[in-house]
Amino acid sequence: MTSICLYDLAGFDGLPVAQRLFGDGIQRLAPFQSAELPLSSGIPCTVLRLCENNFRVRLQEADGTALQQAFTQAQIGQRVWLQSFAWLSRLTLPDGIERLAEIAVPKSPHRIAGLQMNCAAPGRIDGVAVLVWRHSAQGQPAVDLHLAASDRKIIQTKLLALEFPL
Amino acid sequence: MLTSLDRPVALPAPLGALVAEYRIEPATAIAYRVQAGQYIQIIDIEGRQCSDLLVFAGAAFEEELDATVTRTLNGLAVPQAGLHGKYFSQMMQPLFEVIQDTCGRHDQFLLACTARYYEDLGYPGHPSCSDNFNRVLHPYGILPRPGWSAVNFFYNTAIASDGTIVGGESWSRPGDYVLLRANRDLLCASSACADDIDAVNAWQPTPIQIRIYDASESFPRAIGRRVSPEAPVRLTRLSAFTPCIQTLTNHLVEYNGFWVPNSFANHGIHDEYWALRERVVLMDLSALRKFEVSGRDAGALLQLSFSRDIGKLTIGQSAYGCLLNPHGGIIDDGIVFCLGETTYRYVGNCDSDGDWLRRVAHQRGYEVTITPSSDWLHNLALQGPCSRDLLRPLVALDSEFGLGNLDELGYFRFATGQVAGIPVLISRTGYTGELGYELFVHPDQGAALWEVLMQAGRAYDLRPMGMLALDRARIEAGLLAAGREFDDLTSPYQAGIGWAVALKKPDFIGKAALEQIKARPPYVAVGLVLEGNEIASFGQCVHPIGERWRVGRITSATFSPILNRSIALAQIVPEYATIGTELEVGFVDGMQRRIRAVVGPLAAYDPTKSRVKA
Repeated sequence: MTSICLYDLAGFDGLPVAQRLFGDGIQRLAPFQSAELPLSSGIPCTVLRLCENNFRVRLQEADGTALQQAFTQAQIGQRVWLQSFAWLSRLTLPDGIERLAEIAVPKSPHRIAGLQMNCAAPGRIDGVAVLVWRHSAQGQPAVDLHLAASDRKIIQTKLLALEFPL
Repeated sequence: MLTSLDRPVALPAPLGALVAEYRIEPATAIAYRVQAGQYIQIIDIEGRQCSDLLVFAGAAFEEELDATVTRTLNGLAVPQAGLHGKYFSQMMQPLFEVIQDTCGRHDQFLLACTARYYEDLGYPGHPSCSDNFNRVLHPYGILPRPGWSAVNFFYNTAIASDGTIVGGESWSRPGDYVLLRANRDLLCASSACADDIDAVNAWQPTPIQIRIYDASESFPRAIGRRVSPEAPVRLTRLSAFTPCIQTLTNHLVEYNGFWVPNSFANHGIHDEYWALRERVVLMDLSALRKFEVSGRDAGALLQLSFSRDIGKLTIGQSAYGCLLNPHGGIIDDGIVFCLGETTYRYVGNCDSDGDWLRRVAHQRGYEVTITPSSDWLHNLALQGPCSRDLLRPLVALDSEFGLGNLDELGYFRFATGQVAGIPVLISRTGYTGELGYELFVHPDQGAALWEVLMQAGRAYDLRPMGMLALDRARIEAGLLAAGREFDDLTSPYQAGIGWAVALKKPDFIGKAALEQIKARPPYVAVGLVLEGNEIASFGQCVHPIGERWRVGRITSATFSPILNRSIALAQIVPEYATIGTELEVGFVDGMQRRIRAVVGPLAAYDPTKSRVKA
């Protein structure tokens, strides 16, 4: 199984740098929407917009260096950073948003029930903060849970107890 | 004319089945328990009276209301009914939620009044809410404090721009109330504030009534508004389309007395915006206010009150302009529809527009009636380049308007007719800078109209659009918003709609003042295109390059996706308002960072209006 990593990109010039990296299509994403947008070198990435100038990039770990190199070029003269947070963890579940909606409470006004593909919503599972992201990973629908690394075991245990396939 | 608010006091009827009811005498407090799900109504019986509230939860009352947590989690000084209505504990857990509020002015910064406050002003021994709370909470084992952090309902405070907490006489009127719903089992303590030494309770503390309603009750979330000092409170309404909209989003906000969508689930501002610019969107604009102006002198009244030349309108034609006050300020902007020789419709933003028109008619002895029609005319806006194509096969226009089909309906023309058999008035107007239509319908058929248009819209990938995307679009199109680009101290020349003033009319309210202002308005409205990607905000100052002094201020700003630029509407002194002038917008504290901006036309997007006229 290939290893996936997350990079966060943000700053005053987050949008124009994201445009340079992933093309103009990125400005059509609303916060908490995502799209599969390859880097100009063709490396596949899924990009989630978190607010006007903040983006999260999901890609194969082996491609992280290529993203950093592309960023180094794109960020010249711009006020923006790219980081991979050690404290941010990720769990990927097979698609099944309605089942997840039974245990995850969305932060109002977001909705987890009925969450469409390439959309995300912040919420909580047993009081633990998660970002629920429904997306297509290499053509396969999946749900990512982004959560604090320190909460990973708690949520894993909870999901396994409920027989979620992890 | 402002009128005295003194009136006989009558306790309002209960909102539902009562579980308990308490009366708090002036300068006292009570403690009471409430179960999760129950409602607490705090009523200011006589008006101008504050009532402080403490709330505890947990077996040993270990959790308590935390004002700082509440402000932080809501991003509001005081929670409001709606999305940001919950009050939280120090554990960040919701304790209760405000469901209804008919006053709208409360405090969450200051302590309940303390003995120390009175002592420092020369009143040692004066009763205080904090001491009263200590007394009533003692039986529950809660230790006394010299001052309690509370929610101080009906206490009129605000934070001034210099950080000072300012306050004064309460805004609440007899019978005003807040209705709260308990999220957990709670111990509450409420006071009828003891302060009789300043304006807080108008120097005369009066009683407070507490009512507890059963958890089985269901009260809608609402904010109470009054049109005028005498008018009854009106709670936030749902339009005929809201039930359909609520299936698509939870992101509703109160706007002008209605719950309206800000954005839609699974879509959001960008998706809705691009649907508007490239395809077609559907919006609920029922919060607009409509008035039927009819009678022998209807035309004369509007000719006197409205900035445009009504005499030029033919039946089936409408005109955008503004209602003016004698000094040339904009009371409201809106559209006059010519329905007949003696029948007009005014569509604006304020319930008080009708009062103003009635007053002018009375002063002039005009034979005219002004009838509010907002309750039986709700309206949708169908906007975007595909709007005509979507609507064409659905529309049948009434023959008396002399139009063969929808394609003959010109800009600022309207007709009655049917959409899929539903009677409507179709107006070719909008607030987006795109080709579009506004559809006025009786509320009984609103949901059906919504469904018909959503269904027909599938072929065009239609999106419902919320207020966030609408605001972005209207800024691009240089269209005004009340409270941003104009108020009653702003002339049409300053606001950028000098073209909507028919100075050649023999007489109209504000004409003399506007003739003077036109020569040199204090400010003129312009569009700005900023360098870089930062978005300016309302009130930011605009400076000549390198100068400390100001030449204007930002009134609205956004990032324009279609122009890929940060843009703004601004009001600038005429000497610096020439197109092409380079200026600076002050960010941070106005001095540390300046962003260059170039003056352009008010509408950054399609300044020739070619799209709306297409």
